[in-house]
Amino acid sequence: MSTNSGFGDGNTLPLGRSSGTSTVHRGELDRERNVSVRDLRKSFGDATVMNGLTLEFEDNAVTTVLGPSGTGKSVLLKHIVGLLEPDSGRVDVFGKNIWSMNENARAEMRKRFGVLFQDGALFGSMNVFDNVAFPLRKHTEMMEEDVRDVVWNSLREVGLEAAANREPGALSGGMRKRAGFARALVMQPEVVMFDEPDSGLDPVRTSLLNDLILQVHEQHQGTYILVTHDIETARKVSDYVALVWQGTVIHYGPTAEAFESDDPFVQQFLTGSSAGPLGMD
Amino acid sequence: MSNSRSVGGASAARERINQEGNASDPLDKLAASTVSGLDTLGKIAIFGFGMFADLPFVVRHYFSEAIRQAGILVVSSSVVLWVFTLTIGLEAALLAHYILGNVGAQDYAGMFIAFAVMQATSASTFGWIFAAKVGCGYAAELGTMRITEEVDALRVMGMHPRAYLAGTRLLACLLAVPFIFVVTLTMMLAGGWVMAVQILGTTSSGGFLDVLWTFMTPLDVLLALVWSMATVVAIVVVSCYFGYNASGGPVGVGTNTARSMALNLIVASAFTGLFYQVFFGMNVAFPIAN
Repeated sequence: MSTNSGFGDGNTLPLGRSSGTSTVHRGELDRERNVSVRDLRKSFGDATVMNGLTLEFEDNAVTTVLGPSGTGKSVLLKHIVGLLEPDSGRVDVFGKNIWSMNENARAEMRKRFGVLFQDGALFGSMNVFDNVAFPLRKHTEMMEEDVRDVVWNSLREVGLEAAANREPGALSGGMRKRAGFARALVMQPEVVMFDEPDSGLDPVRTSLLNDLILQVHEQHQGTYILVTHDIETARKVSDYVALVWQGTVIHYGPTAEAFESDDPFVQQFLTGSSAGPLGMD
Repeated sequence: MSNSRSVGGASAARERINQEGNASDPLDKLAASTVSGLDTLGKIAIFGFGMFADLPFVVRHYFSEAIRQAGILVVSSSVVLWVFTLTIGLEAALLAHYILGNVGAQDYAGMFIAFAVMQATSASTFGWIFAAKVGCGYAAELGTMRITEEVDALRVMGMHPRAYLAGTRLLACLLAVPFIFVVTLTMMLAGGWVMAVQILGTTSSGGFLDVLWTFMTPLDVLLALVWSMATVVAIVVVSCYFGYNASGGPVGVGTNTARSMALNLIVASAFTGLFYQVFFGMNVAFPIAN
């Protein structure tokens, strides 16, 4: 099983989205990234979830973190946004180690993030409109009229104008995710993270949500990080793919490179084959 | 997550007892559960201090949410409290009618209400009902928010979840409970008056009120208010702790809600024993502590 630095050997790197073949120049990769984790280690009791994970996420690109269940993908997201403190290692966001900040500084840092949780994590006591308006009302001095304009635009973007007055409990799984997506984007974050955006959705809705992610990313740009099991989602939306297993990154690189990899583990996972080094345990 | 880590050495001590002790030895089991209980109490105390430390921040940043919570408290819970306590006032006067009537002292029904209702029952009953209605609600609500990742969502939006969720509820109670309690007390006394004067005709209205105010002073009302506020604060801290730290899915929320209810009833009962002796034990009109 090879460990790939993720940046290829040439001067230019092909990006893997099916929509285009744009390139990133090598020189651009030497600067400090918005999000990077180094030698991250985390255990819960006897279970080691992060085992020296190191990863630098490419700015203004969509990176998908793939891996079998229980390998620490969601735990990685929680470390990046400071919801979990690592046992050792560091998480650098916008050039600063988030665990060298005090809680107020971390709270300020988080305002530059948008996170779509697995089930949307909408506030049950508010309707869709108020959920999306919540960050604006709490963190900006915008007049209510301006808040309304921004929220309606966000809801229009995700196709939820008609559901603005509905409570979260009255929404389908896909609608909850779109509402969560609108809320995650409303502050125009520089980093957007998705925790299994496809979970619980049928293939058509997964595809529609992927289209939406691509469309919004093209419009707003930013560093997008997706955690998923779904290979098609990775193929469709990613510029880069990181494959995580047993708390470490075993492959990181442009999407096309990952899908052409001859590494047996990478091949097995990306083809969904039962034959290979990955078993049930 | 930092709030899920063990606090101090209590967890380590508990683990050591679990490892070293014979699982079948009742003494070891008792020691382990005692340490575990003390560990939890310590965590609740730390959480409670944190809630109070958050209050200035809550006033500055989340005051509107505290007002919203106070509104919810008044609208959704006060009627239950008032109806229940009205019933207690009615029952107390009914007892006074028959017990005092047997010895020809029915004119003293007001005294029965002053002691049995105002002093002994008002704040303690208020605490028990508050624990059941409001405390359980808080634990279940925050617990559900925890397991559906709403608490994490708040945090990643740059909010302070403990201040926003627990601190605002504490402030809401501090703002709303004095009003709710005074009305509760009024309902109890009104229940006694209605039963003794209007329904059973135990005594006249003037006689009832004359005796009532002979054995009850405005200071008693203030002391009962202090007692009820202390109980409410403890209940809110315990409920918010168990809700905020829920884990393990719906079963975990249910378990934590039940645990908060049990502990709150114990706290409300313990406060009853303590405050009744402290506030009314040396009452010159009825010195129960002598």
